[in-house]
Amino acid sequence: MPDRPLVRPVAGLLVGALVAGALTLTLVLLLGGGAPRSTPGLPGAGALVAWALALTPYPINVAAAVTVGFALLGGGFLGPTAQSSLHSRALRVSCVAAWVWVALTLLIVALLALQLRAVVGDVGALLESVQVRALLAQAAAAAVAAVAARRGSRLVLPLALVALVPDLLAGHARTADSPLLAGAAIVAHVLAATLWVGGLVALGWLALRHRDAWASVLSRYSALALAAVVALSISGVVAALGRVGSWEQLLADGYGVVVLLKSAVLAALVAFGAMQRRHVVRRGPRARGRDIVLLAGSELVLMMLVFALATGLAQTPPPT
Amino acid sequence: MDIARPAAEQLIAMRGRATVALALLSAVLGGALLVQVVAAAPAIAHAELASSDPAAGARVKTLPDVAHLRFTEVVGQPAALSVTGPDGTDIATGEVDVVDNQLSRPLDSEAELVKGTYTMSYQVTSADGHQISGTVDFRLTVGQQAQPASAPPPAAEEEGGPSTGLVVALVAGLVVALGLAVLSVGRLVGGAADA
Repeated sequence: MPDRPLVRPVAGLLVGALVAGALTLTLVLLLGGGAPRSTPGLPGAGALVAWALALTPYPINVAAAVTVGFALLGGGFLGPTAQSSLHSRALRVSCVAAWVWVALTLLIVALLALQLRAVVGDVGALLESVQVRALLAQAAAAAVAAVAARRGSRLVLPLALVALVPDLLAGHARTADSPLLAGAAIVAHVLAATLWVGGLVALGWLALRHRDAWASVLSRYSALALAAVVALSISGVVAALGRVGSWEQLLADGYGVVVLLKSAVLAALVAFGAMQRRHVVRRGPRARGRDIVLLAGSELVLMMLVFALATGLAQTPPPT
Repeated sequence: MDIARPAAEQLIAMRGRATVALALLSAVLGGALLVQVVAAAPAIAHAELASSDPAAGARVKTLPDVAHLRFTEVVGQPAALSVTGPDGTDIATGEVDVVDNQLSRPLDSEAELVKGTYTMSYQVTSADGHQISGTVDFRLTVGQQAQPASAPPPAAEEEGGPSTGLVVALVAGLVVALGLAVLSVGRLVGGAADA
């Protein structure tokens, strides 16, 4: 257990970051034009269902990142920690996160069923939707990952990463001219982001339990984070280029503004990452505790914001 | 233990460097590939309304048997279409039909022709799973005058965006939440410094 005095600030950090992310997502949807709208004269399942559908992907992304991050740590992919009991505890956290992921994914399927029933009258066509089938595949893979984590298997990491894929391929990539390549791009983008964010969450948890253990896995995480940032920056910039055609559009349109915000937060995160390499990674076990906590805490808050921006951007209509 | 540590660290650092080099290489290759993909695929967007029958803003002398809307991409269920006349009645009847990129629904041929503005409200789901909805107005130039509507015709939703009050409240909440997070980090830093 973390020291008792730490429980409240840690809870404050998590609640603050998650609530800030949820509010950011709501603002992005309202101001960027992606907010659910009711069309006059048409049946609908109501604003509550529409907003729940719009917001639920955010906690899903967070649960997936936590599953993946703790699987990285608990599976030993970041190297040995000082105590092997930390590995099995990390896998237990991964297991809980994976079940939350499953539940939220099934919630989305239920909401889509409500929407279909409201518009069409029955839910017979539910399984005809590629999105619903992708969500069910995701829930199934995440459930298998949860079971693997429960049994302490390292397979939880590949399983959790696989669970991320179907929903991504059922989205925009399907309508691209070359679905295979566009799909590979979005998969690379999301896997990199998930490993990066999830890894940091797991390391933060580790630092609270065992400072020395953090130092031993940090250099590997740092290399992974650098690679992930490079991969997701390139795929993100190129994807944005494909949708925002000109500099004017970047400022004129809600979509462009969200892209700019996302880039700004990413730049801040890269700056924090560079500071982390300088002040923490290079010093290894001699790094100062306050540097570790300050950098990791700030990064965590920014990451929750960038996740919210990403979830909002996915629902914002691109400029035409 | 202290003697063994630098060697272990060196090993980890070397592995780390190899990982970084490999990742950079694959990122550059992937990036080059992506540039080609995007150059080749300019249109990754939601489906949009391409055309309709009756067309937007059209002035027609008779109501068609079937209202058609065509989209820029393949669309599917859940889909809905209503056609509301000047007196507020929905004259669309029967099954909503979605085939490829077309949404259609028969109109009530027995409906009395009422002069004025008709609003076609549509909702379809694009291939990427997003709901696309909107309205198309056209005018019927012959027929009787609209009676005072029993139900007022649906007003198109305002494009003005959310109310200022709501946005201010959300921003205030965001500031409070971020403040809580930052304060908590500060307290954690303080705790780490004491330790």
